[in-house]
Amino acid sequence: MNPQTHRNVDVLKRLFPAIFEKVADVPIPPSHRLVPTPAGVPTLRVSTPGGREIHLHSPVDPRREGERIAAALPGEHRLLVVLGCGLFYHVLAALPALPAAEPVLLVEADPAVLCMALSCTALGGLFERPGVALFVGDAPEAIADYLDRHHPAEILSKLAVLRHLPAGELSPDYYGAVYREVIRRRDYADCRMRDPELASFINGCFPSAAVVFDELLARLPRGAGLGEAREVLQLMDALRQDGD
Amino acid sequence: MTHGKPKRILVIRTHRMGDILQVTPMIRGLREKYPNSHLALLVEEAFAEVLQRNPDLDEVIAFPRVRLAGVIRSDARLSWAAYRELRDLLHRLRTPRFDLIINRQFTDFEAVLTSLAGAAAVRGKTVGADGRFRYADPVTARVVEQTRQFGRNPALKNLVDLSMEVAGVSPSVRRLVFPVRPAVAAACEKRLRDHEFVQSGPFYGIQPGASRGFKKLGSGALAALVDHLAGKRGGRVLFFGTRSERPLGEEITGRLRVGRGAILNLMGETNLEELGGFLALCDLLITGDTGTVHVAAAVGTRTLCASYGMTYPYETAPYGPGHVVLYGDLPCAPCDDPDRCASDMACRRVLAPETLTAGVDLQAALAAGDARAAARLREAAPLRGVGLLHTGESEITGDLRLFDLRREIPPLNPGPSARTAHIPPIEPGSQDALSRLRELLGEIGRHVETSLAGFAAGEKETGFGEIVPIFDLWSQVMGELGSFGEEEMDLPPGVPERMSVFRTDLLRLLQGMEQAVTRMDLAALQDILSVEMGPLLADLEEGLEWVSF
Repeated sequence: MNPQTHRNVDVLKRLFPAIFEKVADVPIPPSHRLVPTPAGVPTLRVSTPGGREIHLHSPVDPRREGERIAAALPGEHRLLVVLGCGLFYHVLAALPALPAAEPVLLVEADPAVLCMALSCTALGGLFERPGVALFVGDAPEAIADYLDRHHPAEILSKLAVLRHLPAGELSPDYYGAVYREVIRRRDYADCRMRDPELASFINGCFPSAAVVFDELLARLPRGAGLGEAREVLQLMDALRQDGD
Repeated sequence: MTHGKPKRILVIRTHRMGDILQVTPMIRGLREKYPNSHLALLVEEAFAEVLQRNPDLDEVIAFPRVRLAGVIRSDARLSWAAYRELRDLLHRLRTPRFDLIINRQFTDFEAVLTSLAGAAAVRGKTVGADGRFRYADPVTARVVEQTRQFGRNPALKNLVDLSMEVAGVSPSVRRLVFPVRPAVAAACEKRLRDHEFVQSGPFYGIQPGASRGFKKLGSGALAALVDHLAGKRGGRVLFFGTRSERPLGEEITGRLRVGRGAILNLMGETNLEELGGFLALCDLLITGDTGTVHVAAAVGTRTLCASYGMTYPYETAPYGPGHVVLYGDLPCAPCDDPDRCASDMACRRVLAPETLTAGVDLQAALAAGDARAAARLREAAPLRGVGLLHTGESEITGDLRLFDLRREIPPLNPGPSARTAHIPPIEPGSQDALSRLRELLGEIGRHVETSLAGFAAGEKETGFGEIVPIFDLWSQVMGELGSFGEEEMDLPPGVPERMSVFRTDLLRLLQGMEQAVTRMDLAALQDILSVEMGPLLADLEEGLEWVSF
């Protein structure tokens, strides 16, 4: 084990012991291979069961690609959620532009991928950065629950999601589910900030309201406000709670 | 407060058939008061068809309340469809908007809907600008406040009359409206003939079930009752109810000793209109406090209504003269929660077979105008300890009045009554309110004098007989006093506050009167009438002198 990997593992064990346990003995499947690139840093190639090969990072210059992905982040946010870490090039590229206090929530679906990243990327500094949280293969609801418990509405309403698209291609169901949970928190919180009367629906989140809310979010222009929809949600809430 | 005549009026009373029927006299009054206005009713869709035939309505807005509530509570997958249905309902209530909404439902959903519909004037429960529920008219606000303080409305006013007071109407005919088409009535008659039910004796209807468990009649009691009706009284018996209740009817039939040819089980075989058609052919309906009892009252059939548990006959007794209510008259009645009753619902003794059969005999005596037989029956063992009420009408207000048969046998088979001289309701806060108050106070004074004179002469029936009208009149006084607090009125400083103090004193006094009547505490009642009520009347009359319009 080289010194960089040693430090990565030490920091992980100290700060994220549960994740360390999760990845400590994970076998690297033969479908996962680190592949050298002309830029001098490796990329990660994964063979899918369908016979496709997906490069999680550029096979030419993974660092430059990471910088381009990070540059596409919106300017104003107070919480960054990264869906798909791979070898962390895009994550490390995004960090310098973030305010020091901005929390970062990292989600990786595959423990084997994290294991390989620990072996080739310097991650100790990232893990030690205040406000970093790491999830590996956790249930989407658990991630959403963490957001609810650790971040108030005013932070959630300003969260940004950095989606690593190749990772999403590799585990579409998992990242899709996490994305929906996360983005719902943001949009609920956003609406709550703009429309305090919605608090009872959003906080209670009775299942029917959540379904309706998702439908509305897909239909209403962003920033349009809920208007009449808020009134109909009030009616739904009253009908739900009334006796017969 | 409504200024000018409303062109579009919406009445909201969405669920329970009996409750919906109880607003039909108010709707009749609205039709007479505003003959050219568009009059609509919002109801649960299951009841819409029968309301479509109400001649006083221009529009019936059917709304699947039960289904949507179920979806929202338990089936999130369909909630987007439910959302769209609610949105469409809201659009319908807003385009074009109603000028006046009278919400006679006390549930939250209808209050939110009333608020969102955006009518120029609202009566009943709605949502205020502060987001809290409120009662938008002084009558409803007063009743809710009194109910909160006393547990029940101490004015002893039937919900039908309260609705009319809320709307400020007094129809020329005070009767529930439930039209049955001639063809349907004829089909019901044919069904009875086909079953060889010929009118050689009385036809009795029985509704054994009820939508709420505590209102149901027991099969054992009913089997004994049916034996009595078909045997001793030589009648035929029709069972009414839903398809799911049919086994109850079959269980009763299985316990009978009389021939089953005397029974026709119609449970689950009638729609609402046919139910009305069959009830109209009955001489008497025996039931608990169910929607069917109100349908019977609407089609002019007398009823024997067993009232117990949470049911409060002074509010929900069948509307119209000639009905008998057996009341589980205990200190705890009406109870808050029959499921937690520590006394195993002792009030249910009104359901004992011998009580019901004696009740039928009492009803028959009253219907035949036989006051002597009625007086004898009320003292008979099966009816001892049971509250006995007989519906009639108040000679003063025309409202439904419940005569306590323990204290008085009411005028039987009354001829044209003094109701032609109804005191019409006055718009709250109107120019006539002051003179109306003086009239009411004068009336109360006369009743107090008569009552005290009766007690002094040892005529307890006379003394107690004056109490109900006094409650009626005080109830109206409370409403008029409430109108003095309304913002639209130009009152001298301090008057609304003074009126508020009067209302508080009145509430306390009424509470004392009710307790004294309940305990039959003659001394306490006389004390209140002679010592407390006199000064309060004088004080109030003096206070009115300050008011100038």
